Amino acid sequence: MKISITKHVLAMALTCMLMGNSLLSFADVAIIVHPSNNAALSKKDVQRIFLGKLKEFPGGGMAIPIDLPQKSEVRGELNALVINKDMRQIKSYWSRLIFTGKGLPPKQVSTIEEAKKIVARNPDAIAYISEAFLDETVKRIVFN
Amino acid sequence: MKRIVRYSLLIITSYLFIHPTLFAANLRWSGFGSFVMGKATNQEPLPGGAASTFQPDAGVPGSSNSRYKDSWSMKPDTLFGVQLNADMNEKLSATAQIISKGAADFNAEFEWLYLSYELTPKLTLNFGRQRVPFYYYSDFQDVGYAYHWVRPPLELYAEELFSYEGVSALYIDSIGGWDYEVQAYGGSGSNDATPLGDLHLKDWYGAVFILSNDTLKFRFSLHTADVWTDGGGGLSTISTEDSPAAPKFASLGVFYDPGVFFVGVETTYLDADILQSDAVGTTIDTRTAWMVTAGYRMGAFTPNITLSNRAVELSKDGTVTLLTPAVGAANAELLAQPHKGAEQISQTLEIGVRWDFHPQAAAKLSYVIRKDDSDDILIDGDAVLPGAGETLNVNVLSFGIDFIF
Repeated sequence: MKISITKHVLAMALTCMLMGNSLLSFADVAIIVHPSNNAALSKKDVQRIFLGKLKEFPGGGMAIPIDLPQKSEVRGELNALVINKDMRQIKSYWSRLIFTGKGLPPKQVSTIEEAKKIVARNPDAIAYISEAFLDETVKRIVFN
Repeated sequence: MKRIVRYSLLIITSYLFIHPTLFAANLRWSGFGSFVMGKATNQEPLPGGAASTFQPDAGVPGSSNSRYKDSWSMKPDTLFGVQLNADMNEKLSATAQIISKGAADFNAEFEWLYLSYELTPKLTLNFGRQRVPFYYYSDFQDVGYAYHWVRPPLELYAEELFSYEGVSALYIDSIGGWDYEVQAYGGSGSNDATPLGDLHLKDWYGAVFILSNDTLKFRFSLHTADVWTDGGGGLSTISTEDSPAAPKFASLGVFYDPGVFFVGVETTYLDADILQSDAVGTTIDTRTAWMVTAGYRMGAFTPNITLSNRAVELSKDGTVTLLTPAVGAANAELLAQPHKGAEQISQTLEIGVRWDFHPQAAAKLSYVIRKDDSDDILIDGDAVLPGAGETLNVNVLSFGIDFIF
């Protein structure tokens, strides 16, 4: 009896930790497009766009993903929550494509401001920033 | 066809290297390399006083620099590659990749040189010199950083020819949670001084189908070509340009990678039709190879283990037609008999570890134990023909660094 209660408590604590964590981080990273872009995107679509597997928004229009530097925390969150791969796996993934003519990784900019500026200007662009940087120049994607 | 391809390669090259300023804004350089040292720690003494050696790259001419022997050597696995991508506009781009391999005395060669045209966002056409997509690892076989081994297991990943000149089409799409990829190609190719002699392929076609999700990948491929050889080893050839052999090649791979660990299996089957082999001057009938690999990611370290196996069945038609008149037809008749259908079998166990010590570089350590399980007739011979010995028995220790930039 004692053991099973301990087990339950542990399981619940673990669940809370995991969920809490992901909810917290999830609130932090925001995927953004141009305000005129009405594409309905799923998490899988965004993953495919950033992995070079999907080159246009569902419903039309070329998709140009913009990456942040490898060390960026926001990128780390995107990797964990949307791409489902860590940086090492992503590097190895791209090294398999770059040198086999199957694709090149997204263009990379060095700051969140830069990424936001590109998205504000270019209706084809898609990027990710931390929530604190959201404003009316860009539109946040809510996964469908 | 060949001439057209040659001209276009010339045009691509001159665009890329003579007028790089034209595309200065849209040029991307990248590259990769491997610096590896290795040594055969256990060699099999062979009849005639020689000893077994280990050639990690079947695609280079079999010079002494391409083999690990009893002293430390850097040449067999060391290589350096640079790639230039030039976007001419949104749809058209050119790619050149030059690799310099120690095993080939650091002669630089264009491994890839092609124009890409994006017909639709899902369909891309490539025109030029490209890698043959024989198996999962063939496209990036030279990019050590992209996998956990020092080199892919050579029982399986060891074709003498891996580039073709021609056209390929790549279609990428998805259904539900699955991504799929269909690739088809056609072209021709050649490679001089392989163990089979100078190897030529024409009317070369193939297709690849890949289905994958976040953790699972299935890959299937089929290939066929007209093949002939000339030159090589004092043996004449039975496949000529006018009456080429028509081998067929198939591969099947399944890879599972949930993150903490990964496992993969791949198997290939070659129906060689009739090709000349250097082993005992006989012909290859079929070749079956497989590998099973697994690795466990512990922080920056990925210990891994791989078992691979290759079985080459020698032709039931015997060797008679292969031997030059100088050897003598009567002799040939005698030699032919016992080898009909004999099998040359090799098996390799590899244990290794990959250490990701830098975001763009990994260090690797590997120990390969290769065993010759061939039929006795090939190893021991008989009253007429002496055996070759256990030529495939060899252990190799190697370590090195792979990087990308």
